[in-house]
Formats: sequence, structure tokens, C-alpha cells
Amino acid sequence: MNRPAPRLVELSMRRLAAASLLLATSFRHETAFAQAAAPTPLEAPPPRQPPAGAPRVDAPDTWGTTEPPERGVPAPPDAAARREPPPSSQPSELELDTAAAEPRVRYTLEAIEVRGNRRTRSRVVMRYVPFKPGDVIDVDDTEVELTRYRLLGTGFFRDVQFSLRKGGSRGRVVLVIDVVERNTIIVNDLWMGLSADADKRGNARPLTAYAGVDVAETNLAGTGITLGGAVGLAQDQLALRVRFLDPAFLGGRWMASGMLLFNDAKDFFGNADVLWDDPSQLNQVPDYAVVAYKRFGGTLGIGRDLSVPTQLWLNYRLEAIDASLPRAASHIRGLDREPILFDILPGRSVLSTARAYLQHDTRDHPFLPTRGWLASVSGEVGLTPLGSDYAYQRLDVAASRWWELPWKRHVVRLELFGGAISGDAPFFEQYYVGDYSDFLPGRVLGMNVDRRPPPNFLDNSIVEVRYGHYAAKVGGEYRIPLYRGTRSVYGIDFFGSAGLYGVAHRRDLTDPPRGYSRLQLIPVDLTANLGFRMDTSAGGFAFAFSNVLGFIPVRNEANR
Amino acid sequence: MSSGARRATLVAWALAALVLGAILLRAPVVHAQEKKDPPPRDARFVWNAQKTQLYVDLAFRDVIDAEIRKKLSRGLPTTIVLTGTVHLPGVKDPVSTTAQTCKITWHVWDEVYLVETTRPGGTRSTAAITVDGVVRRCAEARRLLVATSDQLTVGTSVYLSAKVQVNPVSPELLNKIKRWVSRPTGTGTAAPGDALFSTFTGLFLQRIGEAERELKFVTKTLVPVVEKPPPPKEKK
Repeated sequence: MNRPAPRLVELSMRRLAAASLLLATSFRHETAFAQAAAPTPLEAPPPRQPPAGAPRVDAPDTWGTTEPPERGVPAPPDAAARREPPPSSQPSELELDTAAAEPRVRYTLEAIEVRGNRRTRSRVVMRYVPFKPGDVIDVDDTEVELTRYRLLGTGFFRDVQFSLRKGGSRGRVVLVIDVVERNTIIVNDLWMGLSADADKRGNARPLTAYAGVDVAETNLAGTGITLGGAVGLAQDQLALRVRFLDPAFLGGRWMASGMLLFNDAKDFFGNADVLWDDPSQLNQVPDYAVVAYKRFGGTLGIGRDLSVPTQLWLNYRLEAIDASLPRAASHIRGLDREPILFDILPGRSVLSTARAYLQHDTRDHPFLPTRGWLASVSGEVGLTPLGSDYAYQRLDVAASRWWELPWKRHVVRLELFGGAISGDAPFFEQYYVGDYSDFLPGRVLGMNVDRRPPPNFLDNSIVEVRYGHYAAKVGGEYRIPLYRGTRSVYGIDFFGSAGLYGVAHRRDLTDPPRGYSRLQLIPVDLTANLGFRMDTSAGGFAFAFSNVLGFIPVRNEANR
Repeated sequence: MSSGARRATLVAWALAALVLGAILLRAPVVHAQEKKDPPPRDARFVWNAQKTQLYVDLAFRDVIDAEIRKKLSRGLPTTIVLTGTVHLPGVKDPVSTTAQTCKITWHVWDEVYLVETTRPGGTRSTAAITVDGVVRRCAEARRLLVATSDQLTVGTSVYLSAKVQVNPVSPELLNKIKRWVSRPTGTGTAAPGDALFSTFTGLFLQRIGEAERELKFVTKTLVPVVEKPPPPKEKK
């Protein structure tokens, strides 16, 4: 048979000597096969023991020849072909048979060098590297690879590679971190849709478009700090928000965040036959009692990882509120005319709260998870001693669990939520039905863009509820992966979800509306959604049909 | 609209969702850059002289491209894993499986490649001085045990379906990584529960995938040959 011609010796004597030294000093000479770990031992010739202290550089390959076959063509299995040629005949193919199990390679770290970072400061990269000069680094330590993923996980880099190079003296190395930076401006959220009203027959009546966008620079001037801005626009409404996050506050292990919010907004109250006394708003929105309000304030927070999946945040919020209310307003609730409760103080007021938030997150993927938990508990109290005009306490508990099904990697999610507010929370801090029903748009930066009540599929008193002090939801989602990619679009899933939720105002419990039978007094409704979730390089997006579905008829008071 | 009509609308939407879901339930997942199946590769199947064990010889040197070659000399381990299943022609279920892993570590100071190979039979450590030596050790399978006579009848034609991965991420490590990514200790790019954070971490999770490089192929369907028994030793 034809064999490739021997190539020139390109190995220096120094490398051969070094290799011999390595083998003589680092490895024990044992049998080539660890028979104890062999489930089905091969029939191989017994390994030959080299002389002590003199490792073979021409050891035969007991699994076959070490002669290279032609590219892509397997070597013949005959015995002659499996025979190792002597080193003198094929010096470029020299191999050193160490025959030892699990050799450990360790060095002393002399320095760490970061390369390729044009915008990101080296100290930001070093924040994620758990090694320091003087440490003994084991090349098999999984922490090395984890560190690489940590750096990738910052979102600052398109690629990160680690390598080692010789240090100043034997046994010392320099850890070289090569990074390739990426665009760090991210579209965090995008809102678009049609706000709607409902006519007296319960049919949805589209009003105006609303829109919003939330954009963030996640590596501000290469410091690793996130700075984001968001704007929301609807008819006669405006919301602005600015946020920042420092993942290593003062270079330590605490995180710091801040947020400024401005709302110049309106909200629409009243179920049916609304009457109000407010000359300034006459003929503007005839079916509703309108509250015009401005909010301006901010939140400061510090957070810390309690463990890998668990994080704790503590926040303080201070807001100034200026609300303009009708002097008086009433509507038909159930069968009776009752005054409308706006749950906000007229004129100027102050909202001051403290909030603690604990989250446990074991999801395997943030936007298209297939397994794991996302659970959180948060508690917030209005701080009247610190000037708050609203004394209340709010407790929320939420948990979601994902499972990957054994067929075609379909995913099932179960979601649970429960929350309660005691005291006098302003209406924009209360639970809003649109936050639980997919048939109504949720709030945009705290601003309510829709005027409809929930669809009321179960024909009960939920139609009387807009904001509430109690909320609960149980839901499920089924996701079908349709596409997986590695460039601009990482994944597209079709999803279908359904759930049951309830929102109740305190008055719904103490003074339920008349005209409903016993079961109808439980204000619950169904929600469902269909659509596609996309994970892209510009962010995660959901294209859902619920907003279209939401235009099916709502509100049934005309039939009662 | 009456409540009955409203419920009818809901039922209509639910039915539409069920129909759409039923269609999509059967939809296969499309992967980007999906390539056509490569042509079957050459291989050599050999029964040992006792006809008790079946071995295969095959090469997959193309898994080590220029980028992987460069990585081999970075001083940190690179792992190449071959997993294979032996099939009878026309039969989907395999009759046996095999695997070979190869961990290559460039010793920065001694300037040799330490190669640790694990396959049926055990683990073995060797050292290579050139990349070619590494390629020959790790991008070829020589006399790799793939089946026994208990699993396969001598004289039956077979083929091997193989998957080669460079630096595959073990499920444990992947979970650890992903958990970490979800909430990196001492770090973060956005507030907890924030979709912003999801976006960042999602950017690279897809890139981890199952391995840095993956190669799938099948071999040609062949009838294994039988080794000749070694000649009897002459008595002195």
C-alpha cells in the first residue's frame, strides 16, 4: 500500500528534552488501559512497560497504528498497518506514550492580560474573573470555562477566548483574555396597539393608537453600567422613564439601581351611566369620569446575589403626585348608583415607599425557557413617617415552572400569582385587570391606555372591576419550537396560553354589587393568548393575537 | 351581544387555536444553516479473529478546522467526542453504541500536547509533539469497539451513524452555566425580573448550544471482514 512520505523533522531537541522531562517527572507509568473502568475491554496487545525514568517516544499505539492515513480515508485495519513505525522513519509523528490516567496541569498565575477591549475597561472585565496573580490555576478547573461564560453573559462581548502563555519563569503563566466587543444598545421593550372604548352594547370601539419604546445601553462608556430610557405615548398621555444599573457598586458585590419616572396621564373611571361634576371635562369623554394626574419621582435600590439563582433587592421610592379629580362622580354598579372611588388624593400628594424583592431563578433560558423555576416574593410598605400620604402594604407572590416534554422539545409552563394590598394605595399601585387579561393591553410605563372592562367570559361581577386590592391568577402555556438559529434570530416559538384570574376591590368583598347570584359574585375571568415569541439579537419579542382577540364584544350591562 | 353569543365567539377562537396548534404540533423544528446530509463516509468494519468483537476504523479530521487547530495550542483543554450508533440497513433502531473522547491540553512550558483518550476499554494518556499527532489521535478512530457477537451476527452488513463534537458542554456544566447566566453572582446587566436581562443572556446562550463544533455523518454500509488469526508461534 502507499504510505505518505516521511516529513522533515521540525522538532527541536529542546522540545524533545522538555517532553522527556515532563513524562519522567509528571506521569506515572502504568498500563495503558484502566481495566477497572473498562466495560468491554478491547482485545489489545498488552502494553509494554518502558524502563523506569525513560519514557518511550516510540510507543506503539495499542489501539492501532499511529501512521496517518490519507485525509478522510480510514486506515486499513490489518496488523501491519497498525504497527507503529519507528521514530526515525516518521519523526514528525512522534508521540509520547505517558500511559497515566488524569494528569493534572497546574501553573502559577503571573498576570492576567485583557486584549481586544476597545470600549470596555479592563477593570470591568476583571470584575468577572475570579483569578488573581499568584493563584495556582488548574487548566481542568471548570471555573475557567465558567468565567468565559460569565463574560459572554454580560452581553458586552460577541466572543471571549482564554489562553495561557509562558510567564517569566518556569511554571508561571499569563492568562490572556481575548474579547470581541459587540453592540450593547438593546431594545428592551416595544409597545404598539390600539386603545379602545366600549359602546353601550359591549362592543369594542377602537380609539387611538398608543406606542412606546424602551432602549438601553448596557455598557455605558465601557464601564459595565446600564443606562436606559423609555417613552410611552397615548392620546393626551405621556410617560418617560430613565434607569441605570451598576452591577458592581463601588467595585463591590452589591448592585445599585436607580429610576426616574414621569407620567402625565389620565385614567377613566365608571362602569355604566356615569355622572360627574367637573365642568372642565364636560363633553370631552362623556362615558367616563376622568382623573388627570402627574407623577414624578424615582427609585433607588441596592441588590445582592444571595446565591447563584437567588437575588435580593431593597428599594426606596419617592414620588410627587398631582391629581385632578371630578368634584363628584357616580355610576351604576350592579343595580345601584354608587359614588365612584378614585383611590387617589386630589391635588398634590406624596408617595414614599420601601420595597423588598426576593427572586429565585433557575430557568435555563431567560426568554424561551424550557425548564426551571422563576419565583419571587415582594413586599412594599407606604412610609408615612417619611412623608407618604398613602399608608398601605402590598405583598405579591409569584411562581412559574417550565417543563420540557419528551416529544419534539415542546414546553409547558404553569404560572401562579397571588397578591394583596391593605390600606390606601393609589389606584396606579393597585392590581389592574389589564395586567392579567391578555385581551386588554397592560399598562405602559405605569400609564393606562385602555378604557374597557375585562371581557367577562364567565358572566360575573368581574365586569364591575377595573382596579383591585386583591388579585390571583393561575395559568398555563404550551410552547412549540419552530426555529433555532445562531445569528440575528436565535429562536422562534409558537405559544398558546390560557388562564383564570380574579381581581377584586376591597368594596367587592365588603359591599358586593347587587344583581349577581352567589357564584357570579366571584370576580373572575378567563384569559388566553396565541402568538409567537422571538428571541433575537435586538431583544426578545412576542407577537400575540390577543390584542386583536380583545376586540370581541365586552361589557354586558345592556343585557342585564 | 348576549352572553351565549359571547361564549360562542370564545369557543370559535378556542377551536381556531386548537386547529392551529394541531398543525404546529406536527411541525418540525427548523435549524438555521441546516445542511443536506453529507455523503456516507468510508470506514472499515472488522470482526476479530474469534468473531466476538466488531471494530471500526474511520476518520473525521475535518472536525478540526483552522479555528480548532488554533485552540489546541491555547494551553487550556480541548475535548473531542465521538459518539456512534451501529445500525442494520433499513433499521432505525441501533444495535449497539460506542464512544471515544479525547482531551487535548497544550503544556505551555514543556511544549507538548497531552492527550487523554477514553473509549471502550479504558482511559489512556499520551503526549504528542505536533498538531498532526493530535489530529491522528483524536480525529480518527482506530480499532474502536462498536459491537459484540451478542449484538450482531457475523456476516451482517452494518453502518455507523456518528456525531463528533468539539468541546461539548456536559448537561451538568450547561445547567450550571445557564443558572449562573440567569443570575451571575456579583454581577448583572439589568434588574431582576427584567426582560432587559433576558435579552442579554439570551444572546449567547444559543451560542453555547451543545458544542463549539459538531459534525454528523454516517458511514457506508459494509459487510465487516474477519481478521485472520495470528500465525502459531514456532517452537524453538
